[in-house]
Amino acid sequence: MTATIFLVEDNPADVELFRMALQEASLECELVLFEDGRKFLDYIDSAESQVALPDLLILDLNLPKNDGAEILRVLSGIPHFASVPVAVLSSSSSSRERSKLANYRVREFISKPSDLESYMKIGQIISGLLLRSDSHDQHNALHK
Amino acid sequence: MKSSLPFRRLARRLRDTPIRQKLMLIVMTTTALALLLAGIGILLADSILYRSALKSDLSTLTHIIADNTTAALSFEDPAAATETLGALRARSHVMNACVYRKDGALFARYTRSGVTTACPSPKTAEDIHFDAEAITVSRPIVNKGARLGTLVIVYDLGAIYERVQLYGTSVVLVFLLSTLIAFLLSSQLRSLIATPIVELARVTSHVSASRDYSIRAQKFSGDELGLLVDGFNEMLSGIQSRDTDLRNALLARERALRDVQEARDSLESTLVGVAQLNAELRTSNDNLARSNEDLERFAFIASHDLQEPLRMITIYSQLLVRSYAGALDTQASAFLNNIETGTKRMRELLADLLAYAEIGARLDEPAQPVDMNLVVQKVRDNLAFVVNESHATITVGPLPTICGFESHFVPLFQNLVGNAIKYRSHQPPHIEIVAVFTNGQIKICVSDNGIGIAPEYHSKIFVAFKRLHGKNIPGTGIGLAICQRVVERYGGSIWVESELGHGSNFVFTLPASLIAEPAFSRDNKEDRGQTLQ
Repeated sequence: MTATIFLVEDNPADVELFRMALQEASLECELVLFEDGRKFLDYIDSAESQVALPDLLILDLNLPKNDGAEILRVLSGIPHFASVPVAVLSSSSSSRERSKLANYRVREFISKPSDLESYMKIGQIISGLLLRSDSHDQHNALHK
Repeated sequence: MKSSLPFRRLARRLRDTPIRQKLMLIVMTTTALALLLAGIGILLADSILYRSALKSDLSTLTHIIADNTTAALSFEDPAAATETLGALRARSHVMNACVYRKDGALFARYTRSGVTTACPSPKTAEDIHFDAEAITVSRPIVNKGARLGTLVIVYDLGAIYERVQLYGTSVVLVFLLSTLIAFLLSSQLRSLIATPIVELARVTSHVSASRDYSIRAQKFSGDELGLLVDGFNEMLSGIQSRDTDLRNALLARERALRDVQEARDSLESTLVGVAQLNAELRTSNDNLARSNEDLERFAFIASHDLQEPLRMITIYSQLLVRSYAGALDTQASAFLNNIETGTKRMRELLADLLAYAEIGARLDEPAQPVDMNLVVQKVRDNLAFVVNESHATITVGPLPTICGFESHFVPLFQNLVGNAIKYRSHQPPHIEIVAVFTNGQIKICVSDNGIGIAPEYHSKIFVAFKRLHGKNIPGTGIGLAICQRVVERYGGSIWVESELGHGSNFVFTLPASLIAEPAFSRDNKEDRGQTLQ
């Protein structure tokens, strides 16, 4: 079964690089793109989101209309989204921005790399996150 | 009491009379009293002497008359007796003279013309009797021890009265004359005493009225009054000099007061000017702070947001190289290489600019105690690669714990230590970090044995993007600007002590009020010595 990844990212150049990184890691997955925060929030509000939950949500922090921090705040109020792991993509590595998000459930902080080689390594990080998510689910199932 | 009251009143009136009159009164009273007493004395003495002289004169007279009448009595010749008695006419004061027989019958008599009184009856013994108007002398007439009769003479006292009158008149005349002379003399002589005193009194009242202490009393004599005038004049000159001093002191004080007033006025106007200047300064300060804030926000946003597109250029040019490695000719590869070098340089500049902007940014969280020893340790870790590569040794004295932000102190020390390694001489770099406490400040020195800096560049090196070296030594030129920004943010200052070829000593100060824990001793030399060993 192919994993579903939700990507909220406004920069098409980054989306392209992100796809390449996934290919580089040989990850077969369905990438659902939201071009800004508003579109993602609209999706969450729609009935569709009740059934189609992603295996991983990747969120750019610097977004037009509704930024990443705002989306995280909305998500924290939706119980059935709690099981979806969230990774944050950010161009700045400043601890200040990260500390702002300390109250939210973020599985991984990923700094957008400044060179191609590092960028391609993001694919491996994503596959790692999906694996952990799987084991987490299995763990949850066993527990049930 | 009652009787002394008029006397007291007189004495009081006398006390207030002018000295001229008083002197006159004293002289005249004394003179008159002395003359009066002398006159009375003379009169008294004269009357007593005259009386006794008269008595002996009468006694002699009666004796002669009695002797001269013995024959007449013996021979019963009254006419002869009358004739003898008649000789008494020469004595005008003899009023009556009578010769009585032994049996008391009148034998002969003489009566001064105009006298009506009869002879008094004879006394048996010799007797002189004084009464108010006359002296009556009785003398027995004796011949060879046998009493023949009695002689009685009445002598009036007119002589005495005449004499008294004469003497009294003379005394009064002498008295009046003497008084007149005394008056004339004393009126001349009193000026000897009164004039200097009056003059003195005049000068005194003039001085006290006019406050003119330069006036002097005229000296008339060399006596006590002269001494008084001298003393008075001396006193006046003393007062004058003191008055002059006082006047000068007052003038000086007035001048000083005026100066103070002027100074105060000018100070007030200055203060008003200063207040205006202050207000203007505050306004321009506010404007400056606002524009500074705008500029910083701009720098932050620019450096932050420029990084995104730059990252894309970098990565996509790399992608171009990787994807079309075989298809590109050498020139295209060189172009792409230049793009890559440029973007790398720009990325570094933006990163430094962002770091520089972040130092000035307001922080939400409060300041924390930051252990400088741990900061330096972190810097060592960050620079581990270059430290090992250059075989650098770093000795660190005990450093204090300072209230602030680690994110400020790490770049501060990292830039200083990094520069010390970067600008090293041919020998392995040795870096020494020590802290001392001087003049209420923390002073931290980061010294090295590097290439050093010529004095003319000492202030330029702290200017952002100012570099002394070309591309052979990498760097953006923002490091020391960041250091300066950090130190100044905490209220300190930073400078360099260096000469070309003799290493550099970067020194920065921080206010002692920032010390959270003074982890260094005041005498730091010992610690340094131990560290070096």
